[in-house]
Amino acid sequence: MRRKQIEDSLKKSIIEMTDNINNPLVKENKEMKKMKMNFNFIKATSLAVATLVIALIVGISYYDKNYVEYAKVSFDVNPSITLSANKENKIIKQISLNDDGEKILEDIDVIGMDIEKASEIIVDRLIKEGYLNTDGANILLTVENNNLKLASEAEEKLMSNINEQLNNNYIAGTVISQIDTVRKNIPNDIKKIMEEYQLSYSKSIFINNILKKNVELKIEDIANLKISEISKLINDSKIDISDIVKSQKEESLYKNKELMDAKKIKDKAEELKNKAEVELQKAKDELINDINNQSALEQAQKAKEQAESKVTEAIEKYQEIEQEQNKDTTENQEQNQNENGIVNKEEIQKGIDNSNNSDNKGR
Amino acid sequence: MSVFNNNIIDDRLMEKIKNKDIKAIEILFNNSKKMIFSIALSITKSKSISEDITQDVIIKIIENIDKYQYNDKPLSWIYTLTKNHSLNILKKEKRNTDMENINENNLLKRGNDPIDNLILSTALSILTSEEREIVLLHNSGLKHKEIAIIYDKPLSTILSKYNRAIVKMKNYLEK
Repeated sequence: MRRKQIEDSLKKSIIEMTDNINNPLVKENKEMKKMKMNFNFIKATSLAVATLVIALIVGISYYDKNYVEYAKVSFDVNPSITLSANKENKIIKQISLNDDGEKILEDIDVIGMDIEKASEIIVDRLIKEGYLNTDGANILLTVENNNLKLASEAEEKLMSNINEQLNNNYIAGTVISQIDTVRKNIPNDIKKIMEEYQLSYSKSIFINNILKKNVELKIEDIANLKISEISKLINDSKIDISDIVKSQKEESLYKNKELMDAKKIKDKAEELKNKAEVELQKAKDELINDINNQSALEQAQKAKEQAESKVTEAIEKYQEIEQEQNKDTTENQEQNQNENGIVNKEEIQKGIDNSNNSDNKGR
Repeated sequence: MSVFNNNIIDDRLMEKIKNKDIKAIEILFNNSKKMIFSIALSITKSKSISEDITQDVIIKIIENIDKYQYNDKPLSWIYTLTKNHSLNILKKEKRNTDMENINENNLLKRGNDPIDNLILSTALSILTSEEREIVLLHNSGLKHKEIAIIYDKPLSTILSKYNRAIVKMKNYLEK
């Protein structure tokens, strides 16, 4: 059998076998349209569903990132304020938990602000409204975040910032802080304190922890105290709360306002003294400058006079020489004129005079 | 005369198919059905199944046309679709590809030249799967060069395999 025969046979077979295979998409018009429609509908629906799912995912992500509460920061002094923040650490909610808190937040809007900036504004308002104008004017700072590492970092930063603010304003207080997770279900013992004494969650956990430390203390003893008063109690009772709250090591938990006021005056006086010293030095410098200037002036004057004198001298000398030179020149000219037979006017006059004299003699 | 013209199946045609051009789909069908059938037959060794596969693959091409990436190798893409679908069908059908079970009458109509039947059966039974594909593809109208592109192998390799296959068949048929 030849190669060509094999190949031709195969070709023929394939043609024959495929001749009756119809295009599956070529049917009656109606059916084809239906298929196309179905095809398009399925595709369109799938696309719509996919788009919806994507939009949902994007929407959920956006919502999650911007509107879902990720952390809380609470300030308890006597006003109790809680700020809720999103994943980006931007404030999404500001809540006052008592009347004093409401007073603070009345004309403050920290929504959208960074947590640190918002905190600065809140503390500034607390100072201005006089809530930190006492001994032991501590701020109980509570940071809630399910990521305790982030909570700790935020706590550290806020503590440092707020303490600096307090020190700059000579507030007899410090920051005492605690961290917790963002709880969906509040423990019953805390809930009980909150409801019975109308306290914030943050203050309630603080008080609850103190009570655990000192069995002699009763809830009714401290529930209604301000943070500054609780601080005094802790200070006087020598209760060690270092394991329940954090504060700056060198800071006393109960500072004396009188001392802070005196420190303020002292600092102010020192500032004035320093200022005066600077002014004095400035005046001294200027005086020295003046003296130096006076001396220079005199010297300059002297130099000027000397120079003027020299100039006068030089002018005189010059004039003298000039005159001398001029005189020499005139004599030379006269001599020249005689030699060249040019009758000098004087000579003429002399001649005339002589002539006249002779005439007179002859008569 | 060439039964296949790959100059027609190119990226321009695929673009038209993407735009749901019915005429383009028709052109695709007419110019690729032999190729598709040949691949299916070389794998399944069944005419009827290969007919179904040919129609299935045309539909698959239309359904998946958006996945086609323009690279001037539409035949390679069609080959891949066809091979994968054929293997899936084969798995499903669980056909026995043993030589003894090939029924010549399954391949060609009654009344056809028995020699043609014999030659075709021989091709399907004694050649390796790769040889079968190459032999049938070439005799469906593809040039050796086109087959080389599909397989991504040197032309010399394809020529060599084809020649070896034909010699094998020739030797078998001459016995």
